[in-house]
Amino acid sequence: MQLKTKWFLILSILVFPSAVYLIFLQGEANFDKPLEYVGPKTDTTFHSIPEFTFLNQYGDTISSADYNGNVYVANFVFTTCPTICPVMTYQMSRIQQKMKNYPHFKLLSHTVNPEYDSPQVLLEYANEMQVDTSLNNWNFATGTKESIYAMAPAYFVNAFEDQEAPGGFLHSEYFVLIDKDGHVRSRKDDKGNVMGVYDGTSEYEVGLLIDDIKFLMYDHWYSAKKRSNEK
Amino acid sequence: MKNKDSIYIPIIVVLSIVIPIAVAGLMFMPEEWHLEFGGADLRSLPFLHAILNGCTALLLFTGFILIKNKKIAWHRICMIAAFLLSALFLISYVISKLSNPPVPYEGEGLIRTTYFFILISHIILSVPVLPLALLAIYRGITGEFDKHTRIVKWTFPIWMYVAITGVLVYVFMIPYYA
Repeated sequence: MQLKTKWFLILSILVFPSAVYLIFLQGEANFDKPLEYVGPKTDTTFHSIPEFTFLNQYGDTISSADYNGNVYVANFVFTTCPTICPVMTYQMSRIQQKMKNYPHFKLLSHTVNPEYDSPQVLLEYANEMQVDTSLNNWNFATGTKESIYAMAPAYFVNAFEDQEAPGGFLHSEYFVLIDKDGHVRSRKDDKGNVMGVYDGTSEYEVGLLIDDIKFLMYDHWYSAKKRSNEK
Repeated sequence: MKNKDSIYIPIIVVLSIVIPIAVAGLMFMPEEWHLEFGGADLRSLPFLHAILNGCTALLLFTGFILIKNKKIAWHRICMIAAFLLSALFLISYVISKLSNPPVPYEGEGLIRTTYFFILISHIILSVPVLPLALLAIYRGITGEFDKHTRIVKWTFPIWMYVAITGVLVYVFMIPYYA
């Protein structure tokens, strides 16, 4: 073997692991973070999402029973929203595409303007926003104003009518991750505080959310397997 | 879920049949069809192949440790890197076979039997690695963890054996490479 070739190979063996290590240090290591429970907890129970019943974009009744046993992402939008909603819905569809092959994963978008956003309006909105309807895992929920606004605190976000806000409604831009048992989950941020929710207008934070959804799905499978092994 | 399987499983089956046949076909091609590659010196390729196999084994082992520690994203990166190195090895191996005359093994006695046992088991077991690895990757990235676990009980030991014996075959051959 030629001396040059040998040195080149030996060098590349040393460079390859160093490159991987550098990528690891440069903030690509945002995945595989353990997920915390969000919200007040007693000794035995964690905060969980209360039961709900809404209509989806097809006019069908959907309830919390449809979401139990699924990991899902929830948010609050409205179709006439001039500012952040299109960005949020685009990011939700990004999540839908990234997770499209995973079983037991769903999405839930509530409207904060249910008087205008009838199932029909929501269906038009979904089609316009390129929602993948073939996956059948994303509901746009409408109902009475009271029942929808009552859900927002459970997800630790805001949703109410406000004449001052653009479009007439005030709502948070956050995405909320809910596990199979109805608990709100999230990672800790770099400072060690529980993030709680993910900024649905931030490409970066939605990226973190996608990593966390995958981790949560694995975590659910792992604990179920461990339980069945113990029996 | 049946829907996506009916697309991807046939692709995996076809690849797993076509690639070994294509590789075997290239191996047994008459010598006058062999390529010159512009007179490039490809004599150091066996060393590169040993490195590729060794790195594959290391990545497989690292990926195994990572998943035991619930590092799913790092596990995915490691295993896909292992797959890419194996693919790179296969391409480079075919090129070296097409451009170099075969080097015979000249060891005698027990060491000869050992060498050929390792070489032949390495070649035979390398065939099922492709479908097993593709299925494992597919079941992994679709989040079907039950199926993934069932398939990797076969993928991991066989792939690991093929990668390690790939290095061993080179070690046995070192004295006979000029």
